Amino acid sequence: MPPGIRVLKTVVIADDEPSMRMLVHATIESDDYKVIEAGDGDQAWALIQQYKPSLVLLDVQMPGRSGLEILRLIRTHPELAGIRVILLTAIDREADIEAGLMAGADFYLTKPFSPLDLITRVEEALRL
Amino acid sequence: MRRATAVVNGSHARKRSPAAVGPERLDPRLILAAIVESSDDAIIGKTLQNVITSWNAGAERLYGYSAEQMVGRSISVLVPLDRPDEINEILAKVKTGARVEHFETKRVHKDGNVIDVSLTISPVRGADGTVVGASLVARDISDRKRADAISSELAAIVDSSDDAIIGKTLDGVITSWNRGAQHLYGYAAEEMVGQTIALLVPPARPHELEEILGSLADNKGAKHLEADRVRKDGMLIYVAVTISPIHNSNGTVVGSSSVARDITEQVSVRAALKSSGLRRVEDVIRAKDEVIALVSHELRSPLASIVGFTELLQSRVLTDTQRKSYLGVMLKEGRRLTALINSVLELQRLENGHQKLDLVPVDIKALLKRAVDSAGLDDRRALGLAVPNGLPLVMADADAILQVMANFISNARRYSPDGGSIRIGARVVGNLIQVYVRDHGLGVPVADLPKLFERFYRVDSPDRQSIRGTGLGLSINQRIVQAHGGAVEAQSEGLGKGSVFQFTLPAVPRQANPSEVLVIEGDSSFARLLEAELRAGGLTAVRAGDAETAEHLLIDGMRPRAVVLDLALPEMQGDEFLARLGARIGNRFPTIVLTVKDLEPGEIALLRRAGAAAALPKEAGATQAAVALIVEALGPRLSNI
Repeated sequence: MPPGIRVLKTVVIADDEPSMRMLVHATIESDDYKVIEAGDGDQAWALIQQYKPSLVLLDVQMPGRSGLEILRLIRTHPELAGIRVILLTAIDREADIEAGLMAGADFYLTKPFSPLDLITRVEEALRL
Repeated sequence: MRRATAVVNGSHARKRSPAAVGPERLDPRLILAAIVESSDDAIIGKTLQNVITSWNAGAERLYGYSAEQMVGRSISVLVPLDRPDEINEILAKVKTGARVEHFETKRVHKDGNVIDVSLTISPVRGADGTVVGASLVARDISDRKRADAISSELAAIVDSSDDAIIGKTLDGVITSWNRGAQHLYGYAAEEMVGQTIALLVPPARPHELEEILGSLADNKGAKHLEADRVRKDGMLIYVAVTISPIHNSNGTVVGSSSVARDITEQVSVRAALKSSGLRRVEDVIRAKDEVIALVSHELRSPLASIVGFTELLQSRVLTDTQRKSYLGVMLKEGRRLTALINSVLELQRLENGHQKLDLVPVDIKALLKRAVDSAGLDDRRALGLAVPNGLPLVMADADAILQVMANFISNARRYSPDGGSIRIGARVVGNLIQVYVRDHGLGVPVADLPKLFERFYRVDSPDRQSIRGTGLGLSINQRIVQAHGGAVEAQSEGLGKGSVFQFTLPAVPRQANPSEVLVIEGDSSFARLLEAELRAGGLTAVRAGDAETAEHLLIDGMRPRAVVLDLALPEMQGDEFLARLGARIGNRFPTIVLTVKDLEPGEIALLRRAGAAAALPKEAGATQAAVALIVEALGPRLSNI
């Protein structure tokens, strides 16, 4: 790779709360990451197929396609293999967490989370 | 229970041995031998040294040894090691010529098993009458002992059970009554055993028992039912009963046993739930879980932003724009969180009946206008008011109804994502005023209409999934309207067809036109002057000659716009009447007090405190002054006419 060129990793954030998208965007966007926002499940799926991001942050409770549905779609499409997924949720019931991890999520974050935790998880996920 | 005892003098022969054929061949000893051999019981003869001399087939069966094995041996081989002296003790008794009867003890079978037996040992006398040996009859009572143990265990279980367990005959006569039954019904066992179970059934339904007992006799198996019963103290309770038939060994039903549990509390909770719109206990629990999940989710989301942005602000170097932007979001989310928490608490308060309403006669048109004004401008979703003049007043808490309107208007706007006008109107329906809010937005599927006002209920439809909301607004509205004595209703022709939300409020019953003034004046000529002056000012007067009439009018529902009161009425304490007036219709109405006598400042102050707007002397110009004051006070409201 020629010096001076840096490839940014694409991160898609799918959450129906504008303030949450803004928070994630503000936390992650940097010289290393490019953040793309989706406001609902359908939009998220379209963007994922288009951009094939390195990482997707998925809100579990979204109108339209839920986070879990999107996750399953990602995991069953071979051309999207390798995309890391972190699920975001406001409900910390064990059953839900297990279901998410079983469906193929790499990590799970419960709101409210600290931006520091978010970055740590993002970096961990991208190192996988 | 059959017994064949070897008694020296003759007996009950159960079986005839083949040896006894004709009367001339009947040898008593042979008969005896036949009896002994055919007996089911073990019959053993022994010497005074406990040596076995005879051993019948019954003994073989009971102890497992054959006659050859036992005759000539000591009987002690049958005795367990833990009671070495027993047979000697028995023998000692028998030697004296006494019988030992039904002695329950244990013996050891040939295979080593211990069996429970009941023994009867009798002395055998020789020709000279001395005791020369003993005969022993033994019966296996293991089964009986086991049955006894089981039945005493069962009895203990029945007695210690919290449930009421009652045994009865087919006719319903009580045969057993446990402690649980005493606790449940109040009667002791002594009072109930032998009585009919009908004592417990409320007098209104004597046939229920017959039906149950009848169907039990038909052997239709156990029955489960819930019924009311009467306790000894007369109190009515609800019980859940399981009635099972009791069979004898032939399989016929000989009685029934019932197990009953007190469900009075559950029944009343069920009834309370029904009236509050929820069907079953399960619904309540499910609703609670959903509430917790929803509230948890709704609360955490704005919190997440606030916490997150706070951390960013603390840990990063930011531009001014970024900082402003983050702070803006935090504030917005903080407010959203506050609003949500307030809604939830509000709803809780309403549900628990803590909400206090200040009900006074209110002009609904003016109130709706205020509601529209505070809703603010939204060009794409303009609010239109269609309220006729001259509507009766409603009894309402103005602030609470403003809240109701705010919720309806906010919903109408939020569910009109593509814009559309919103119309607010009111009309008289019977003795109620009905207010409606009509929008041309997303509408409601007909099936969802009945559930719309349930807490947190959101219509599940793709067209509205991105619309935020707690799902509490309609519940809150319903609670508030119901507290006013009115009702809410939603109508829609379906998705995309808009909706109408309406609610009713009780109208203040009126007999005449809206601008009546209550004149309480004993002096009829003065009253006539006053009335003329009021008419000139666009008001009508209703006159009461004394305080009682005035009260009567108020009781009948009259709600004057103003009151003119003469203090000099018989048996009238001005401030007292004013206070009563205020209590009845609130103090929002100008009350002018007229009096002949000069009032001390203290008296004027007292009247003011009681609610008088002014106290005027009854002199020339008094009527004009009074009416002028009233017109001024009523001012803006009068202009609606």
